[in-house]
Amino acid sequence: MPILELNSVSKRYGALTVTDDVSFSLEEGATLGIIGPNRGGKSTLFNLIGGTDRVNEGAVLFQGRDVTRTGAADRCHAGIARSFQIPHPFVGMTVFENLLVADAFGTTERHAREDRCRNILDQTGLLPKANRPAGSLTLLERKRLELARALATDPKLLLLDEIAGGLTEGECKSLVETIKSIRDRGVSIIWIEHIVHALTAVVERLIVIDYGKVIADGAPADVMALPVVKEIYLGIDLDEQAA
Amino acid sequence: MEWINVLVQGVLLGGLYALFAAGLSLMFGVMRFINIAHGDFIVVAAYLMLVMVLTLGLHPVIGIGLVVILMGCAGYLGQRFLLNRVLDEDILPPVLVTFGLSIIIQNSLLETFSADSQRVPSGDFATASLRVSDELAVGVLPLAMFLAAVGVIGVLQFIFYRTALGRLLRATSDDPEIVPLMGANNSHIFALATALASGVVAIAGTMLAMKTNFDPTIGPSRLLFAFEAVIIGGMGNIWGTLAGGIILGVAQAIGAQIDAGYQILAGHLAFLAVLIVRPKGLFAKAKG
Repeated sequence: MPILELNSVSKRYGALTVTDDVSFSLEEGATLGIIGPNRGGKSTLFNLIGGTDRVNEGAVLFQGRDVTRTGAADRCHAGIARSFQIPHPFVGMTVFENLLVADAFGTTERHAREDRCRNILDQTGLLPKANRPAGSLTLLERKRLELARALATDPKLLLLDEIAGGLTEGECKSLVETIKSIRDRGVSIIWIEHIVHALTAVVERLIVIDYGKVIADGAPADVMALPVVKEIYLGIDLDEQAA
Repeated sequence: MEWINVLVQGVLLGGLYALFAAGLSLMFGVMRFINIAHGDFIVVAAYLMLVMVLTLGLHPVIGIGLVVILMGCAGYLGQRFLLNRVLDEDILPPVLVTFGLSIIIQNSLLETFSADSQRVPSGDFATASLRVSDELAVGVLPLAMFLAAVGVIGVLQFIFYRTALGRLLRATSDDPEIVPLMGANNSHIFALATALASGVVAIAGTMLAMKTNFDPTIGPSRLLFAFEAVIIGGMGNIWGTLAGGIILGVAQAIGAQIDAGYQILAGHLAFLAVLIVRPKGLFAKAKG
């Protein structure tokens, strides 16, 4: 059974169609990269999957269950977690407290929860900063905190929104290693990213979205070789190339 | 010696003002919600206390406990089913709705209890005092109220910084849109915040009921004192709110000492002075 299924999902803001009849499914434990031009509707797709926005048409199925009408909190309990393109840490709290917020109403015993959060901080390289206020973190640390906080909700499906954007080459590499280790533990991942080589180091499948539509779907190498992708991505005009 | 007495009375009065302010500050801090009916909620708690003690004949301590539970439940339900509907980016709808609530509450109280001034008798407690020296005596009731205020603020501080609920409330204060993605339901958190604030309002109201005469119309001026205490102390700093209440109380006591008519004016002047010198309050928390 696929972990996530989108059936003809559409989202409109007034006359503007941001997501246009998008359908795809993701198998349990699979990884998927999403690329496409800015304002093409990639982040909106995450809003629709994560439940911060509702679809106008179509259905969202998580592990076979229809979650189209449920809110973000319910989908979090179901196992969907998300990191934002622009990090939104709770700036007034420490890094450790940021993680503890996740699942605060859960039934897990306190010490077990604290141990788990400590492990996640260790895994994401934030343990030395555990007691620092989240507002004092650097960009890389904030991006790692986004990731750590999403992991603290114990997700089955992780949505990463341009988590490598704005990082240096070295920072990007170490983040990719962290994401790989999460993938290897069996967490399904959908990753929106402009830095294609970071993406292709992790994902086994690539989708291209432009003007809210899926215009390509397949293995990364095949998708990147498509003329339509080259046109969008590299700015190569096909007519010009032919001339 | 007379002036020391004035200072002590002012500090003790300030405890009550801090109690008025704590609930207001909590709701604003967690959800940026300005409750114009806050003063009237305090008066409602005072009338509930009146019913508990005079009509039902309960002991004041049991009365306080029941009023706290009642107000807490009412706060949760009111937030969940009424106020959450108007809670949005726009700050105006909550102001309008609570302004309407304020009028409804005042008139309902007037209809039920008449305009007569009331007071809840607290027996010997009300007149008992501790002699500190020949010229200085501290009333047991005002002292108990001050200690209650310190206790309430200490408990709030503990909840906010030492418990899972407090962590959620602080996270919500930071970024309410992210909290649901951590699996928490915002309308439930907001309702819990209001329940907590209403519990504090209940304690403030029952104290008011035992300390002074009250009638259905005194809510708005309690709201004003609460606002002043919060702003003097600085937004988002709960111990600052206690300090703000004390400064307001001392200013009023000094004013009253000069001339009975100056009591309220002196409080407002102190507030104005703080606004001019430190518009963000004396102990404003630095935002990261």
